[in-house]
Amino acid sequence: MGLAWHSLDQPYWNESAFYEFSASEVDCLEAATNELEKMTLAAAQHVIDNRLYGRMGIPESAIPLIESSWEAEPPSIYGRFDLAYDGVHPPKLLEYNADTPTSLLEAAVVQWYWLQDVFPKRDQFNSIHERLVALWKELTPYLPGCRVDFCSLDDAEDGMTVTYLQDTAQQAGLATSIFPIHEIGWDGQRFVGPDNQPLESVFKLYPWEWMVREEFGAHLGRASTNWIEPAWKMLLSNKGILPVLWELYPRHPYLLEAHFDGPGLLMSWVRKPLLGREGANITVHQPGREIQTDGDYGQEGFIYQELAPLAVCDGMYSVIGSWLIGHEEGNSAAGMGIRESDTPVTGNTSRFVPHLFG
Amino acid sequence: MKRSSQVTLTIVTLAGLAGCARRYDPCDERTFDATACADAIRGGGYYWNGSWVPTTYSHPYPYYYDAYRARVASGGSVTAAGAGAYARPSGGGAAAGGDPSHAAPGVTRGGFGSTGAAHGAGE
Repeated sequence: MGLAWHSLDQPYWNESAFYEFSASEVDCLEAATNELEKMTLAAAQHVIDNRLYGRMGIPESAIPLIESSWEAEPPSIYGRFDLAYDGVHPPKLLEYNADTPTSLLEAAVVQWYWLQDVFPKRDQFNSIHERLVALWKELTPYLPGCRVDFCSLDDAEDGMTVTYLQDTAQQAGLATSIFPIHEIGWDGQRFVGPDNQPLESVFKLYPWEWMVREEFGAHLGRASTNWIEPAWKMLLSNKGILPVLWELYPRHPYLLEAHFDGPGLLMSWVRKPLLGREGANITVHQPGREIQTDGDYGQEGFIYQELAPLAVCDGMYSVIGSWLIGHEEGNSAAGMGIRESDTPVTGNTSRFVPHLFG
Repeated sequence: MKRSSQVTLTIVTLAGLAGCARRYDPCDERTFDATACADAIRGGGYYWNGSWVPTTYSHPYPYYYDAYRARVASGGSVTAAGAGAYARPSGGGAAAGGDPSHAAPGVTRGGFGSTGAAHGAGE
C-alpha cells in the first residue's frame, strides 16, 4: 500500500488496537472541522486586515506573498486540524497543520484497507482519497498545461506523502513529475525543474517559513510559479493563529484559551513555538509538574495554550487528525486519522491507529 | 482539460484557412489552445510554424481559459491551429522552453532545502 515509513524505535503503524466511534461522534467531529475551517479563514483575514505579522514572527519579505496569494486564491489542497476529543466534550483545536501536513497515506489509504480486511461491514470517516482526486479534477483548468510538479525533502516520510499526492493528481488526469526540493533551479527569471523547464504549478511539502528565509526566497515574489499550498497558509500553520482565534471567538467550545504574551491566569498550559514542528520545544506545565521536549525552535517566539484534556485509553494519549480537502464552505471535512503516544506530546514517531464507526 | 458536454464546439482547422496566412494566438479566446497558451505565458511567447513570436501576457492562465470557456458557453466558435503549428523547431536553441532571448546564462540550484536538511518538513 506504499507505507514506506513503518517503524523506527517502535511500530508506527499499529493495528493491534483500533478506535471505535459512534455515528454521532463522527458527525460531531465533521461539524467541528467545518466550523473551525470557517473560523480559521476569518482569522487569516483578521491577521491581514490588522497586520499582525510581527506578532506571529512573519518576516516583512513574506507579507506581499501572503497578501497577493490571499487575493488571488490560487489552488489549495489540504490541511489537518489536530483535535483533542474524548467523545464527551466538544473537540478542542490543538493546532492547525495547514501548510505541510503528513500522515496522509495512512489516513487515506492504509487504514481504509485495514477496514476492508478486518471489518468489511463497518464504516470509516474517510473520503480523503476520493476527495483529493475530485479536487485535482476541479482545479485542472487553473493548472497551466494540466500539469503539477511535486517536490519535498529527500526523506522517507515526506517523500511518501508527495508520492501519494502525485498519484491522486495522476488519477485526475494531470501530468506530473516529482523531485527533491533542492533540485529546483533559478534561471534568473523563473524557477525551473531538474529538466530546466519552467515550473508553473508546484506542490511543495516544505514550509513557507523556511522557503522565504532561504537563498531562493528572494525570488519568490518575482517568479510566476503557483505554489501549493499557497503562501497565505503560512498564517494558519503558525501557532500564533491560536491566540488570534481565541481573541476573535473567546470561549468558543472548539477552542482552547490561548495567548501570545504568557499563560495569564491559566494553571495548566502548554507553551509552543510559533513555528515549531513535530512536538519539538514544547513545555507542558501543570501545578508541580513540567515536561519539556527538545528541539531548536523558539527563537521566533512562543504562544501559551490551555492544556487540553487528551483522551487516554489504556495509558495512551490520543490526538485526532481531522483532514480538510479543499475549502468549500461547510464541506471541507474529509476524514480522520488518529495518532497515539505514551506522553501528552505527539511527535513524529507517535503511532498511527486505525478507526471505524457504525 | 474539462469541456462541457452540452456545448457544441466548432472546430475549423487551419488547413481550411491556409490561404489567409493568419497567425493564431494560443491564448486568444477565438483560437485558444490550452497547452500552447500555458507554454506561451511561461515562455513570453510562442512558436508559430517554426518562428518565434514574442508576446507578453498581462494575466495568468486562468484569465484566458475563463474567456475561452465563456466564449464556448455562449455558442461562439473556436478555431484550432493545425497540428504542430505551435511546436518548437528542432535545434531551436531555447534553453528553457521559451524565447531564445530569455535563455539564462546558467541555472543555479540548491536555493531551497537547506533548513530541512536538519529537520523533517512534514507535521
